[in-house]
Amino acid sequence: MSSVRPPPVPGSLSQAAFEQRLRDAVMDAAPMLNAKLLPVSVRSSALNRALAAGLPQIRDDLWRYADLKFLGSAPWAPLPAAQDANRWLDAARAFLPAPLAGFERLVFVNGRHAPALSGSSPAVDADAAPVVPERTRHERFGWLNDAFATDLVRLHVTGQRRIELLFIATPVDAPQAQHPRLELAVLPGASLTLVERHLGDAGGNSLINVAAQLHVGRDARCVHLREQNLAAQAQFLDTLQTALDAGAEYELTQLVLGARSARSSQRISLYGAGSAARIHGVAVAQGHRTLDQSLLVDHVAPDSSSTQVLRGIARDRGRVAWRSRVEVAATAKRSAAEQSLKGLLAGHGAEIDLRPQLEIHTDEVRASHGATTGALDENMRFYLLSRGLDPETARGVLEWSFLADAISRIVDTQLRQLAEQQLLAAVGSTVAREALQ
Amino acid sequence: MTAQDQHLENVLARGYQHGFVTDIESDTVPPGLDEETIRFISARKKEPQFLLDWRLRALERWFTMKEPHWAKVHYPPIDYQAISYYSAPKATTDGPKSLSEVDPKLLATYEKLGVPLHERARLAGVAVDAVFDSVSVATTFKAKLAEAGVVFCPFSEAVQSHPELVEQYLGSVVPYGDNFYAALNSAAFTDGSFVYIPPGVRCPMELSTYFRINAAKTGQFERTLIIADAGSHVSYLEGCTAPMRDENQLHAAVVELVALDDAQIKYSTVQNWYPGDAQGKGGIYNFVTKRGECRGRNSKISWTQVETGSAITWKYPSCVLLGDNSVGEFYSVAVTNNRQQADTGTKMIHLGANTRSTIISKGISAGHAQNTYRGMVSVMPGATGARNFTQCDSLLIGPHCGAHTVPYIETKNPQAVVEHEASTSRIGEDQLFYCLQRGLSEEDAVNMIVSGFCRSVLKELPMEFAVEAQNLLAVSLEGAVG
Repeated sequence: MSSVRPPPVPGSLSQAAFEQRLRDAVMDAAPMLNAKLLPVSVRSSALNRALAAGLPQIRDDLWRYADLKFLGSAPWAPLPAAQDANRWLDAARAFLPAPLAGFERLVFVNGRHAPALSGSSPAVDADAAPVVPERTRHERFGWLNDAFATDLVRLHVTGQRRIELLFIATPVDAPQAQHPRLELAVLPGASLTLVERHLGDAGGNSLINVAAQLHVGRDARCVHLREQNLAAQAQFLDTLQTALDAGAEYELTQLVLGARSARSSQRISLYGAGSAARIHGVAVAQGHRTLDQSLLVDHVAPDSSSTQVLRGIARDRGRVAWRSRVEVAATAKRSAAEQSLKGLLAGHGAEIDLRPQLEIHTDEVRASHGATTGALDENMRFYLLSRGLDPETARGVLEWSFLADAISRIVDTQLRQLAEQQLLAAVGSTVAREALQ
Repeated sequence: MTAQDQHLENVLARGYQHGFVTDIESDTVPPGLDEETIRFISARKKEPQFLLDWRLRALERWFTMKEPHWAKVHYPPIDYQAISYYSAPKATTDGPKSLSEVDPKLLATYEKLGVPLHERARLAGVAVDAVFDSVSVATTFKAKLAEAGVVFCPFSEAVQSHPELVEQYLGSVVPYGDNFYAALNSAAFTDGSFVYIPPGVRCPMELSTYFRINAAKTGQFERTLIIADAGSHVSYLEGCTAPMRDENQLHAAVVELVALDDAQIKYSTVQNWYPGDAQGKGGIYNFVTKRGECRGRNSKISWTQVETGSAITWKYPSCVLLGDNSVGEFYSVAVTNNRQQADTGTKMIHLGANTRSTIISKGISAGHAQNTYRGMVSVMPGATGARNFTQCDSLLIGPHCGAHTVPYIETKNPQAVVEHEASTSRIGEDQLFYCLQRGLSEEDAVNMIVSGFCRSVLKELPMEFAVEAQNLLAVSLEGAVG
């Protein structure tokens, strides 16, 4: 469908210049690309695919609302390891949150594993093979992670584990690229509670390009909390792929609170009969932030189910864009899918773009979605003011309750409390904080 | 195979009831589109220079454009140079002065279609501007309309009688470069309807036009322009049906509506072009650009459509809500069966303050058909107090069809409220069981359920169209239980 507003142009970068930039990056990065982590053939193939896919086109519907202007100057070669490791570690400590009780902690600083800040668990299982999923052109930046990742988390989870992954960015002298990478397999019957947080300040014009792939085995369970709370000038790209086997359960909660420009391409595939995905998302865009997310939930197997609850606030001149698509294949009989997307506009230059989409190829299905955008309810605001709250406090309470709709569904108490704390900080509601305490 | 399945197959295999060809001598230009063709059409219709220039600019633009492929429809490549762009039924004189002068075979065609031109016109008070292929051949109730100052005539006539209005408004809502098909239409349109309602006039009757594709290998490029001046009101009805063809036929129409201050336009469509056979052979390709502009304060444009035909439907009747307090509405039922593909919806562009829009879309998909709702609600920064409500529901009948919902919601004003909801389901076994145990036949039960599903749209149609639409739904879907 033709657009009223011209779609964003990715900077002034031409296709040829983009290709040249990638080729130069490979030359610069070659000594850093560990072939033991990812074979050269994999990296080479990924790079060629990324080159073939090129930049997202101006009229590419999936990139319609993304702010990709930074690609014109973003670096791709990963940052070399620090000559003075302590300098990075000291800088990272300033961003390091308190440890979560009962969680194994793994910390990465500027894309590299930092054992000094981590617990005793290894980041890579010795017997785990590389996992490089099939990617589509819309997941093209995942290919660049395949090509440039310098370090990664690669684990096969058995039994019950609780893991906290911290990816900390610290300011460095020159613009840098980081390629955080996760390859996690939750083996049949196992249970994983995973906290994945991207924090810190990489400095202006740096790029963080995440690729995460999870495989949740038969009757396994994975609860996944992702937080992106980078500094205001960060540029963040993200590719997430999760595959579910029969009877598997996956609960994903996303807190998108930071970065100047963030784009996430996510695919959750329900390959196994009776598998279920619950997705909760919150985004708060302040200043000039553009937070864009493209999510695909792919029902392939019968009796699969998915729910999505996404809430976003756009303030100042911020923009929240969600494309949330559910595809139900002809084989996915008796599947159920629900989507609820709501956006709150809290600024005269702010923008909310919602695209809840359904593609249904069988009649034995229940699918529905709802989407709304608007401002805070004046009646509610008036009520709170009439009870003696000042305007700022009333706003905080109402925004908090709007967002809490998504995170109140988190089953794990510890994770829910963590999410609440982060959102309270984003919304700035002292009343809500006191109420929760 | 159960009796129910057998019945379903029988119903789905039913032939297209309006499939026949009238043998009328046609005046057709050779296939192909170039400057010469455009000059031929323009000269044939004795058009003023401004219109020829406009057509030529459109043609130039069209040559630079690519056919869009973002819609969820698939069809073999169209050779636009293999299509004949002008076909006019030959008449004994330059133009019929009354119905008695119209070719009797043509009138017989309308009779077969169930279009009782005389009776219906008299009984229902409907003026009919019947279009056969590309040239208007019969117009009634002109005098009564003229009395009210309403101009309702074939487009080609309006070009002669009201060139100033045509020049002012043509392409002002859908510019010739708007999209590939609009550019094609702008270059090659042969006729259509023109309506002008003077200030303060409430059109004394419903206006109706029947379109019909007849000659083989001809495209139909209708152009409709409706202008409702300040304080006026008009209800326009459009119905289509087409004879059976083995080869696909192209239909690329453009409809432009302009509503000035306090004016209201209601545009209703029942579209029943030939959908192709059960294997997907033949059928009309329907690529239509329909757009209305609420330019004035408190103006209103309402689109209502019942889409049951065409092999391919690509159609997004839209409203640009420029005037403060203006209102846009879109009510749609889209039925696809066998191998039909429909990608249809609307755009509501809110620009003025306190503008309101409502979208109700019902999609029904059966057989191997694909039915997509694609809609955009865009609230621009100046649209303070804007409101939109959208509801789009899909009903699936059978395991091989598809129903898709692709809404776009863009909000740039914090004082605007946009609400969208959608659902996809099939006819519930409990609903069917309830109806059957109350003594209804399965066929009646499905009809009733489908009718109930579409009720919120059908009630928006004028009475005579509502009846026709109900019949169309029943013919398309009765007994089609998944």
